[in-house]
Amino acid sequence: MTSASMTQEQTQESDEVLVMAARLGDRRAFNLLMQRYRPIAFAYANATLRHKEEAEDAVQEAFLRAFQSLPKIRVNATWSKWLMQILRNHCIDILRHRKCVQIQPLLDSLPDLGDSPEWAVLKEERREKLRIVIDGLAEKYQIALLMHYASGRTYKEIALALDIPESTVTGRIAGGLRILRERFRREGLL
Amino acid sequence: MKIICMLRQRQLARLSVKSSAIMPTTLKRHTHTCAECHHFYEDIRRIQQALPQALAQEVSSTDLDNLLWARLQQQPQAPIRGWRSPYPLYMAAMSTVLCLAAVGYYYNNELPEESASVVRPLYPLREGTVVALTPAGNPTVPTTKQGLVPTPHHRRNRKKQLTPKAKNTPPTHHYVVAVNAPAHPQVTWAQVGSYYAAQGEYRDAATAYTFAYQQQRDPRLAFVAGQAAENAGDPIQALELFTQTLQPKLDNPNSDKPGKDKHDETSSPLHSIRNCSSAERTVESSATIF
Repeated sequence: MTSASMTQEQTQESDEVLVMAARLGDRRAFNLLMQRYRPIAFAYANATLRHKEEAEDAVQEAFLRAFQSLPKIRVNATWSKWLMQILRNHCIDILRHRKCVQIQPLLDSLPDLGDSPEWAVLKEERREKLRIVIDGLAEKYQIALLMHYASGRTYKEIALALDIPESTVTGRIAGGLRILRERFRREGLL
Repeated sequence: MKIICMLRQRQLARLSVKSSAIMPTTLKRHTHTCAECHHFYEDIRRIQQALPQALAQEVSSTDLDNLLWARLQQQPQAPIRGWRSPYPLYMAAMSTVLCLAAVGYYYNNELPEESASVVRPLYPLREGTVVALTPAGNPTVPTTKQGLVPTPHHRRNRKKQLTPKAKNTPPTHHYVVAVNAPAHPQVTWAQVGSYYAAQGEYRDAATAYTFAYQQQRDPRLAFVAGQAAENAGDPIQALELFTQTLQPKLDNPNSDKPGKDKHDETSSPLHSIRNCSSAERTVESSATIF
C-alpha cells in the first residue's frame, strides 16, 4: 500500500479510531486529527484574539496540550469538543494576560501592496470603520460573524467551536447583522 | 416602529442567514407592503454581501503545520496513566510478586492436568494474553497480562461499575494463556475491549467491542460486547447487541438458499462460538497455567 492511499484510507477513519491510534503512540493519526481540526481551531482563535500570530500560537499550544493529555481522554469522549474546550480555555488565558499587556496588531493595519496607493487608503479606511463597528459589538456576535464571514466557517463548525447549538449560531449571526445594520446607518455607511 | 415590524425584521434577519430557507407567504406579503421592512431586508442582504469582501480573509500561515508537526515530534510520548502506587516502588514490586505467586500456586493446585490447553483467540491477541474459559470450555471475556491502554481512574471507578450480580458471582472459569503470535501486530478494538473488561471498565469495554463489531461484523464480538454492556449495568444496550448476534449475516451466501433452514443450530453464531472454542483448543504441555 502506498503512503498516499494509506493517508486517503486513514482520513476516512472516524475521530474515535484516530484518537485511539494516537493514544497508542501513532503520531500520524494525531497529524490527521490536526489537519482535520486546525482550520476550525484557527478560525476560532483568530476571531477571539483578533491577532494572527497569537492565534497561531494558541492553536499550536492547544494541540500540544491535547497531545500531552491524550491518555486522559476516555474512549467515548468526543475529541473535537475536548480539543475546542482546551483551545477556549487557552484563549481566555491569553485574553486575561492581554489585559495587563496591551498588544496592538501591526501587520493587520498595513495596506495591500498590490493595490494603487489611493485605493489602498480607501480600502483601509473602510476596513478600519468596519473594524470599529464590529469591535463595538458584543463578543458573542463578533466571534460568530468573524468566524462565518472572515474565515468562511459553516454554522456547524462554529457551533462545534463555541459549544452551542447550531440554531443559536444562526440567531447570533442574525442578531449581529441587525445590530450592524443599525450602526452602519448611524455611521452613514449604508 | 411597529411591534409587528420589529418581529418581522427579526424573522427576516434570521431568514437571510439561512441559505436554503424559503420566505413564508405572510412575511413576503409584509415585505411588499411595508417599506421599512423591505429596506431592512435589502440592507441586510447588502451587508451580507459586503462583509466577506470587507473583512480580510485570515488564513493560517503555511508554516503552521510544519511548526506544529516539528514541535510534536520533539514531545515525548505522554506516559499512560495507570496504577499509581501509594507505597515505595520496592514494596509495590514485592507485593506484586507475592500476589502473583499466590495466585499461580492457587490455580496450579486447583486445575486438573488436562485443562492445560492453549486456546487460539477469537481475534488477534498479543502473545501472552490470558483467556478465560468457563467449565464448559467456552471462552469468556479475555484478560491481558500486558497493559494496553489503562483508562485514568479505572481503579476508582471499578467498584462503582461492577453490578451487585457481578460482585456476588463466584468465579466459574479458569485461565489459560494464548501462546500464538498475533496475526497483526497492531492493536485491535477487540483487544482494547478485552483490556477494559479485565480492568472492570465494562462500559468502555462495551464501546470498544462495539467498534470492533462494526469493523469486523463478527457476531461473536457483538456477543462479547453484549456481555460487557450487561456487566456495565446497561441492559438496553446489551439487548441490542445480543439481537445483533442473533441476526443472520447479510453477506452469508447460504442464507439466500431456499432449502436452507434459517434456524439451523449449526449456523447460529452462538454455536459457532462453541465450535470455535472446542475446535481451536489444542493441548500443549508447554502452556503456562495460572
